[in-house]
Amino acid sequence: MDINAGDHRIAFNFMKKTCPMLEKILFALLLFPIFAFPQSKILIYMDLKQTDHLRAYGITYHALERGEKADWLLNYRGGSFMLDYTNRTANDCRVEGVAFDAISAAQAADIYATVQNEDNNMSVVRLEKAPKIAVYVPPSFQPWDDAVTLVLDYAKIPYTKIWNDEILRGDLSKYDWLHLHHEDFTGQYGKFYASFSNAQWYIDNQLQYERDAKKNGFKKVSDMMKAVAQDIKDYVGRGGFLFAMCSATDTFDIALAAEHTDICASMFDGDPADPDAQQKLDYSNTLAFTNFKLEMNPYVYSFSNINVQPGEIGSRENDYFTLFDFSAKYDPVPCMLTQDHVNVIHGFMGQTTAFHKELIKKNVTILAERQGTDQVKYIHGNYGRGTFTFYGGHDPEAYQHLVGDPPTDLALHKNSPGYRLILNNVLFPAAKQKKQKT
Amino acid sequence: MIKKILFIGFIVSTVLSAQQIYDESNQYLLAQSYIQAAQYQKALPIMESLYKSQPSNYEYFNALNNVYTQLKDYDASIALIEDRMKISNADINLYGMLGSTYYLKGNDKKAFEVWDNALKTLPQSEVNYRVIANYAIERRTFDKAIEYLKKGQNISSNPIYFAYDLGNLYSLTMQYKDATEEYCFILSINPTQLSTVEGRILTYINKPGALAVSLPVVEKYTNSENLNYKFLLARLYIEDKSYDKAYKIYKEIEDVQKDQGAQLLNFAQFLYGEKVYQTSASVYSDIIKNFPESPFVSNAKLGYAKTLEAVLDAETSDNKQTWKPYYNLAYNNSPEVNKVIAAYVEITKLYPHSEVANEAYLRIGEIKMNRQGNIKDAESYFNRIIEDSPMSQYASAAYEDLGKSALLQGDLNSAFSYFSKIALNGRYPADKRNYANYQLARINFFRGNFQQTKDELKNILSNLSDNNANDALELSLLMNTSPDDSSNLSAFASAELLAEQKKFGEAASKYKIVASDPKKFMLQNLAALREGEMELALNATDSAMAVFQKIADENEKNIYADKALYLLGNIYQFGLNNKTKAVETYENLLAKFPNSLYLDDARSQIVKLKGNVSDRPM
Repeated sequence: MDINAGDHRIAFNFMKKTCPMLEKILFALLLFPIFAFPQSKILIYMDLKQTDHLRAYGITYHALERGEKADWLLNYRGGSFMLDYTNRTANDCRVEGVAFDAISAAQAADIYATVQNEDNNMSVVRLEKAPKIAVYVPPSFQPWDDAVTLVLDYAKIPYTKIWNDEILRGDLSKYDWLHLHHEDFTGQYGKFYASFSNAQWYIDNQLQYERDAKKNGFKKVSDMMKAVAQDIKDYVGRGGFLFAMCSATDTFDIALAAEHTDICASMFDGDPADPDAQQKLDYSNTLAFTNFKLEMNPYVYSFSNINVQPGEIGSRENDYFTLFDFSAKYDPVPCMLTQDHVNVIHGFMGQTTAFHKELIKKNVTILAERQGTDQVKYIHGNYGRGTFTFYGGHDPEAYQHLVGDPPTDLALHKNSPGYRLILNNVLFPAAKQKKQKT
Repeated sequence: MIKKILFIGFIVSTVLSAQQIYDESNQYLLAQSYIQAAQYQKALPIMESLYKSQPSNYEYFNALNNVYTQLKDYDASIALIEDRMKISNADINLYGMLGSTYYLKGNDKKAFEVWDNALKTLPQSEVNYRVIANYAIERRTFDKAIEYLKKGQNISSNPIYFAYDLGNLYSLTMQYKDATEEYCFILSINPTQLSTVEGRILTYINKPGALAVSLPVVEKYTNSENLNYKFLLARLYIEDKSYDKAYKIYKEIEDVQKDQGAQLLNFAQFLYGEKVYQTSASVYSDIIKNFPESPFVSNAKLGYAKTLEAVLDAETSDNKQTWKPYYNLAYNNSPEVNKVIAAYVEITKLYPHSEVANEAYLRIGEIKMNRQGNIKDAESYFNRIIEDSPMSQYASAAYEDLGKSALLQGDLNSAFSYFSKIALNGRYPADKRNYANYQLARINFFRGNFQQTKDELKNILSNLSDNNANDALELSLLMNTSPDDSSNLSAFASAELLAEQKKFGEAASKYKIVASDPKKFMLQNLAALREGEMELALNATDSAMAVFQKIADENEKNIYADKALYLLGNIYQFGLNNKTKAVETYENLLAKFPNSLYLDDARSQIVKLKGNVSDRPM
């Protein structure tokens, strides 16, 4: 990605030495629009003064979609966006309630200078292309909501819903960014058996999975889910961006680790689990977690010890997680993913709430954690040519989103810092791709 | 001596035997504990030992087989079951278990072969089919289970027993047509099962494609004499929102059952709840006409009148004037309105001196006042409630309507008296009393009693949760910004009274005079806005637009500039049907007044005008 400001400076210095006239020409070209257009740029500031942080991402996304360029000013006023001034974009901001400043080219140049200044932990990332987004959503009814589809809908960012059929036939290559949420890749239907095995939605859900498996040539749902997880991993390896939340995070890695064993009890896949499943886990196959212990009891609503249990979190009032500071100029990727207007955020639970630090692989970057604990909320890593980001919890604005709870109305949470982290991930693939060295 | 030896021997052997049983029992409990803790490896030697000691013990056999399958040692399980088959080869459960183990082993063909052969070789019994079907269901091979249940049903003396299971399996496997066939089959044998059958069908009928394939099945059965199919069909038509078809079926049921319209009444009430007013009115009318002696006719009459009024309300909601701040009511003496009144009058005659009659009087009065403009007649109905039933729950509403009627006629004394009656009566609901207090403040304002008005508004504003607090705040603000200008304030108040009386032309002239005094900015600004609103009420769209444009152009100098711009947008949108100009005007409002109270409204109108949110790129 072209997010290394150092590259620009080296190139510029090189040109300065080799062609002294070029500097003057460039300077003249830079000044031309300052005088030509009084309102040259739109600054969508993302600090506490922003009226709707979430829709700001939608505005930027749609500007990119129209072929306009946008700059993401990392750490400048909460991670602001600088767009070319057009009446369309300005109108969109007003209609969507997104606060912005229409600024002159001179003012914009001042801002760029501030951001590029070596003394400031800030940087500019050029956003070039609106990423194509796929969300992994089952076609059947689910009695819970998906924070990502909620926020994409609210921000009016388009996405395509895909499911196992599409993944197994190789459709993932059509998308830049894939989101997983509450789905269970282990084939244990979310381990809801003890509480909901008689609920109609659970029965329908199981039948739907079984039909899918049969249709795709798998005898067992767990086998199909392993194949789906492997396809997703391959997609990341080929350069895809994966973002997962809640139970999709740990179950994805568990499914990958369990490639050569059967971890599902008979109520899930018809036959008993392998008694030696724990010993047969292959941690080298996972993306983020290692050395975890499976929860093999089918009546316990937990998959493994990766997840931080509610009892470990303590009181809701004290549940906050802290975003790490990264160098905007030298560590732009984690910096992009942690852009926010606050750096301490109220926690929220999910089937998978957070991850135990000792079970996270060493090559994975921790983006946010509960300070003073071993509880990690938000992680990021690379695999092959792609990246993955895992975010614990179900809904950043519903502390304990229970099965059957109504969806969160994001119009009431326009400035949600927890939801912003999701949208950082959406725009992250829009950053300019760095040319591969040959 | 021999006796003694024998006795001791007997005692010793009994104790030893009891000890052995006790030990086995403990061993078995230990094995069970291991099984429950999923430690099958530890349970295995214990269960093997126990089974070896008592091969005839079915409990041990079953537990050992379970341990084998949990450990995925399917060959051991097969050997164990086959070994036991040598002892009891007529036990259908053993065949079920054997097939199940083959299935777990991945040998589906052998599993089905075991099950099929068992059913062929063992004596024909419906129980056998059910047992094997249950093993197939346990392995979630639903198609095979359906096959066995179908065969079992064919030889069964109680086919209903199988039909419920078949219906359930068909619906699980999305074979909705077959599921409905099974449930209809149940009704053909036992009509008393209607509610159960209906409940089962309703669990899947809203799934994609289910209704479309189920309706023809029930229609086919409806040709029979069995009335229950008609009930079922009518219910499915309702699910399909084919209300006219459902109505036809209910009429057919009525023709047969002759229960004086009971089913039709239920149907009409359901339709009313679903806001299907036209069909609901037809059904009510049908009951009233065809069953005049029915005990349900009173309910039908009340329902009929309410439905007719709901139809009128629905039509009024399309009234093209309601977007305006002020507008003249479109009075209507059409037969439809008179039909509603007649329906209510009939109720008052049928149930005199009742709360139903009081509600009917209130409804008639409101229709007379708001739809026909017949104030005198309306008042007589409101007065009737107050005079005949002063304790009625509708009395406060009657006083309120009388107060509004008096205001409409400019009779401030009467209006004051009526609203006072509500405000001072502690029995009346708090929201009614609060509203009455606000109206009393307004009447004092119209009279020019500004100090009294302020005192009354203060009381209202002490409770900001009161629904009238916002209106009270606006009036209070107006008075506080013009404390020493009673003449202009009086002129404005009299204009407000004229607007209340819907004398928009006269009101506009008075507002214009107040608006011409630039010194009193708040009063002048509001009077100018009102002048535009009056022009709009008089359908003088061009004049109204000119006034609003002028106000909007004053920008921050006029505190109503944003509202004027919003109203301009409304005129383009609703009055002139010019969507482009409307959007442009609303967007102008967003750009010029980023802190306006009308921002959210303007945004939602833009979104509405540009199409659905999901279809509309930013």
